[in-house]
Parts: sequence; structure tokens; C-alpha cells
Amino acid sequence: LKNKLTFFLLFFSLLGCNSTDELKLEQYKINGQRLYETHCANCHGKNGQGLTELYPPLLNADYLKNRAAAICIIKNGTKGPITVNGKVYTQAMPKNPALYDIDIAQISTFIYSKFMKTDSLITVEKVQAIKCL
Amino acid sequence: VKNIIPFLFVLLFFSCSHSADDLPYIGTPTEDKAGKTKNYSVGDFAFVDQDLKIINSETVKNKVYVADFFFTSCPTICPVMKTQMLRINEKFKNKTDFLILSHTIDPEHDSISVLKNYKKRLVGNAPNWHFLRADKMYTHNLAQKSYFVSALEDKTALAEGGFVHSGAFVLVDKQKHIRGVYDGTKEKEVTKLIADIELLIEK
Repeated sequence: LKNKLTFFLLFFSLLGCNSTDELKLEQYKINGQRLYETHCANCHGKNGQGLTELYPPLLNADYLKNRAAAICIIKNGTKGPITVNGKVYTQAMPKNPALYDIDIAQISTFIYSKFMKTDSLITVEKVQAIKCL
Repeated sequence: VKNIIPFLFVLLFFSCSHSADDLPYIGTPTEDKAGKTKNYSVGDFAFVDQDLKIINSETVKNKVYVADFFFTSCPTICPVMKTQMLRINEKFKNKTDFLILSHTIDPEHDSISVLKNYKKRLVGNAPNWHFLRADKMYTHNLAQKSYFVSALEDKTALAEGGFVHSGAFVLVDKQKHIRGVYDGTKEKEVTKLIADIELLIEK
């Protein structure tokens, strides 16, 4: 009986762990969407479509495959030309000093789940571990 | 059948109210020597556009135009305004009596070549749409005193890119009267603006 109980407890605590992670992912996606719409959507569009040849799209953007580079741009902005899906964009992107690492993590989680169809939690620790130039 | 009568009245009312005469005249009217009131009209101005063409009060004579104020490095409302202005341009790009005047409020950064590149990337060939540049204080004054929209430099407004300005689209008729001010960041208001431009062009 004791063994069975331990087994069940272990099983439930595992389930519990899983669901907190899932909960966190959902939380990040929802907060990330709100932050995206406030700080990013003006240029990149509500649906990540970009704006003509001025601002690059995020939807299915090949540039996002390099996750570290993309997160660094969200953190620090960028100057100079950038190539997305074969097109060159020249408009600078300013750094937004109002965003903390937690915001960057949530925005990144949202962008990757919505525009790249990869549902994975990008944590604050992951954001902080990236070495940007 | 009787029920249809109020419905007809409603229809009649709406069709009547839809004319250029119903658009307001914005600004304080003045009185001339004979005591006749004159509606406010936009005063003289002169700018250079992205192709180094002079755009002044003569250029807009007998044309309906929409004026807005922006800067190319603006990270906040400008891209939304430009998305909406693209709708207006698309609708009236072939009209000979219509213009769009987009004034930069940051001429130090927005040189003629920056404006030319910005226009090319935003819309390509658009003969009715001019991106205008003049002295900074001249442009800020024009925005506030002639078009009644705000445009200020504010170095502390970091997230806004160093300038504070309104997202207004100002509609001016063929006699240089301001006939409407619309929020250029709202799709619905711009839909109304497009309908009002049509009324003024037809007139």
C-alpha cells in the first residue's frame, strides 16, 4: 500500500509540475501578446505581416530561425540592413528601454508560438544566458 | 406597408445629410472690412519634397489634400498612420485634384534622401503623395498654428523617439478651408475620411 501511495503521489506531483509549466507557457503567451501589441505591432503588424518594404515581417520569417540573434534584436534594437526572407530592410529598430528581461522573454515566447508555430517557453534565464554583441 | 414610411424617412435623412456642405469649417472665422465673415483658411507655406520639388500654397490651389506630421524613425504611431495613409493613396492615386502632404517634424534626421528612400520603400511610385521637409521650428509652428495639430520636440520622450506629435490627418478643401481632423491611427475614422474626401472632390 505504501508503495502504491508513493507512486501515486509521485505521479500527481509530476502532473502538477507539467501543468505549472503549461500554465506558465500560456501566461507568457497571453502577456507576450499584450506586450507585442503595445511595443512591436505598430511596425511589424498585428499579424506579423510587416509593412511594405519598410519593416520586415515576423510571420514565417527565416531570420527568426536564429533564435539568439532574434532575441538580441528584441533586447537591443538594431541598425543597418537586415535580410528577411530574401529581402533587405534598412530601417533602424530602436532599443526599447522600458522592456525588462521578463518582458523580452514573454514577447519572444509569443512571437515564436504565433509566427513560427513553435510552442516552447522562453524563460528569463534563457534570455539572460544569450550573449549579445 | 405603413411600417415602411418611417424607414423611408430614415433613408431620406441619411441621403440628405451626406453632402459636402455638411462638413464643418474648422478654425475661427474672420470678418473682412465689409463685415462679411470668412471661414478660416490655411495660410501660405513652402516646403521641398523628396524629389527636391517645391510644394507650396500654389501647388495645393484647387486641390483637396490631406496633411499629416510624422518622422521616419518614429517607433510608435507613425507606421500605423502610414498604413492608413496607404489606403487613402490607393483610393485616390489617379485623381488629378487630390494630394497627400506628409511633413517630417525631424528634418535633421530626415534628409531629402532619407525621405526619398522612405517613400520608395513605403509606397513606390505615388505622384499625389509628397514627403515634405523644411526647417524644424517652421514645420512645428505650421502644424500647431495652421493645422491645429501638435508637434513638439521632447528629448525625454525616449520611447516615442524624441518627438511628441498627434496622429491627426487634416482634410483641406479646394479653397484651403480645413473641413475635418481625423485620427490617422484608427481604421474607422480613416474610412470616414475617405468618404469625406470623395464628397469634396466631387464638388
